[in-house]
Amino acid sequence: MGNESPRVVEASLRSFVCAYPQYVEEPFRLGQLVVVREGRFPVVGVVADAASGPEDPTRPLQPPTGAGGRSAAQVFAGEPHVRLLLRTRVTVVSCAYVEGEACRAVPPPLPPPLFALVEAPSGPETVAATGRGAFLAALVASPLCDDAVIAATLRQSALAHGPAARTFAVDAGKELARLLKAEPARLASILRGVAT
Amino acid sequence: MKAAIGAVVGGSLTKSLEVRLEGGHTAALGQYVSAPLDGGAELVGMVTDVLLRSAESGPTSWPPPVGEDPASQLLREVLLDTAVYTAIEVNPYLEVPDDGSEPARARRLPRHFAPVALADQQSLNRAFQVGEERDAFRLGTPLGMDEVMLHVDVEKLFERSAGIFGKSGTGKTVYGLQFLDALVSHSRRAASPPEKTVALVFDMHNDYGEYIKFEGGQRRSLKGMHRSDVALYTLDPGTQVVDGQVVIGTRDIEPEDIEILQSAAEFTGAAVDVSHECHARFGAQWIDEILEDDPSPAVIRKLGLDGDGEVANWAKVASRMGAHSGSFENLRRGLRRLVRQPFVQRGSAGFSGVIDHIVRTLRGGKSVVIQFGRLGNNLTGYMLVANMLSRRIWREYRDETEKAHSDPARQPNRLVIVIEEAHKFLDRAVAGQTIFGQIARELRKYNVTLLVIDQRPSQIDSEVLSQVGTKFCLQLDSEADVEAVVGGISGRAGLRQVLASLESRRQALVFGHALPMPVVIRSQELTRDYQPGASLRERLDPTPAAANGSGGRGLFG
Repeated sequence: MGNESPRVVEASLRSFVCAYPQYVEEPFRLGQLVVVREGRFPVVGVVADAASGPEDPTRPLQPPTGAGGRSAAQVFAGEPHVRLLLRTRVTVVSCAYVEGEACRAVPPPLPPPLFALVEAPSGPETVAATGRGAFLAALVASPLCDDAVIAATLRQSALAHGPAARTFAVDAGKELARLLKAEPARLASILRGVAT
Repeated sequence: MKAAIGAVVGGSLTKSLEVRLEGGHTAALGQYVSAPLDGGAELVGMVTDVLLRSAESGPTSWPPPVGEDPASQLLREVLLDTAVYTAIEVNPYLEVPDDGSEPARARRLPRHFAPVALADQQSLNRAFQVGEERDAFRLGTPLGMDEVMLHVDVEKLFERSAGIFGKSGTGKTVYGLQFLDALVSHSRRAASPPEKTVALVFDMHNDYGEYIKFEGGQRRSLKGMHRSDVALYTLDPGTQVVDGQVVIGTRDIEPEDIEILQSAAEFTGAAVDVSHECHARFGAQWIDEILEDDPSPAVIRKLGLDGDGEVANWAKVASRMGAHSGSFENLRRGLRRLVRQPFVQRGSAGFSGVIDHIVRTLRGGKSVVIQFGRLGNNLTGYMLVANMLSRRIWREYRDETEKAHSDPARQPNRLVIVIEEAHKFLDRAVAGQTIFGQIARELRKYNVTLLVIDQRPSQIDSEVLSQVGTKFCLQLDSEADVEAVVGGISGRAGLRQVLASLESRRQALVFGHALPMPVVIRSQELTRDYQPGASLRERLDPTPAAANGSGGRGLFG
């Protein structure tokens, strides 16, 4: 049950939010590519943020009483119902969609359907979606994406390119250089995050 | 389909075209590029500059660190060819139509972002109009384009005067030899002597005879390669005579011959005037007369000095002719030095016979090399002989050409006179008087042109230099020499840069009459197994007999 995929709970053309049915310690990671396969146009996005908290925001979470020196895992193991009262939500910036055989590196024409499952793409899907870095335009334009998100995306996507990881990093970096031609300091900051 | 190396991003027809290079591609000064024009034509131009540009000021104001850490390496790699890039400037020269019609001077430009590729053999053949149906001189390979060979139409090359310029040791002589090798090989194919182009070579340093000294060894030279098509003459009595010896008699020397020696033999201007006066008064034997210790009775009589009762001397002779005695003595001193030359004899030495023999040889379709043997370092002798022979041979050609107006069969064959140290014959002071200045100015009027070989083109009269049709320029050090060579031609700023970047050996900028656009080439090497005619690309003979010969391809390949 803890491994159940999150579903779309808020959706727009530029971004969407997906939520796990309960609290999870390790949701999708910052910068990770995700895909919503349901709907007319499957949507590819990048995780821009993840947040965990009470299901009802009007009832703030309080530290468990009598927990003493127990760890978080011990607390959840001792009180399994608490996990169900909590939620983990992930904010995703849409950066591409699939139409037929083509993966287009622009926001989708339609938002992903609510309650659609959100999954991690396969390696080949990641390679197809990230290509030569065209998807970066949507990230650079989004107010939800800061330098850390872009750097994390490039770093993780490069892994899917295997032996061509370096070539991908350079090509994507060149695309980023074009997008950030007036912001060399920002470009340097992002690439520093990629290289490390 | 040629692979593009970049795209047009700007430029001007009158200045240059700017091409942004694609990442991973390079282009070097002097290379040829082509770009498509609207309407099925191709623009061909030469790279005249390579530029490092930045798209924005940021990356160059805040360049990535020079360290080898992964972040710095990645940043540098990313910025190359994006934020910063390499561009080339291209001089647009020719518009080459796709339909095979004649290339023309470029009058339009490719559109923005038109793909630009390095020109290939096919493009350059079309640009230089050297299809398979004409003989062509192999100029060499354009710099950085080793797989391409540039050719120039042989007929066009010899049509007007040409010049080979370069400082000492740059390979002028080797170029000259290859040029003459192509000329002789081409002429051999001519059906009859009048159709042959021949050369008269004044070989100052004995380079064009049997052998040429080259890189510590020796190679076969013009006579060695074309034994039956080249006649060898010598001025040095100590040299084994091959085809003839040139001996000049004092009666053959005219005041015009003295004029050209003014600086080399240290004649004053007044002394040259006196020579004319002496020639007018004493006739053909004027030199013999004035070199006597005392005036002869004939001289005394001609000047009317025999009636005054005093002993006549040279001072009185000078005075009677209205000349300063110092100038007269200057003339006598110079002439004494001249007649001490081993190839000068007092009186008449059969010079006319030598001239006749040489003219017959030339008209018969053979080239003539006149070697100076051990006298090669004697500039005065070289200039005297070259001027005397050329003037008289030119007169023969002029007379024959004029007779050919009424009798076309008498039209003489084309003659190329080759002179070294050309600035001595063609400097501003004497170019007006020498036969060489006249030949250069007359273009091909009498079927005689020049091949001048020189290291100081700036010393050559600019009017004469402007009449040199095709110029081969090897490395030149002096700014004045560079300016003299490229001055007055369009795009000279770019060519000046190209000329300044030439290496000291085997690299040349060639431009002018025989070429539709300037070329920067690495010349062919003079290897040990250099074959006669190696500098000539012979046309493919379309006759069936030729097709069945060793060079042709048989029915089954």
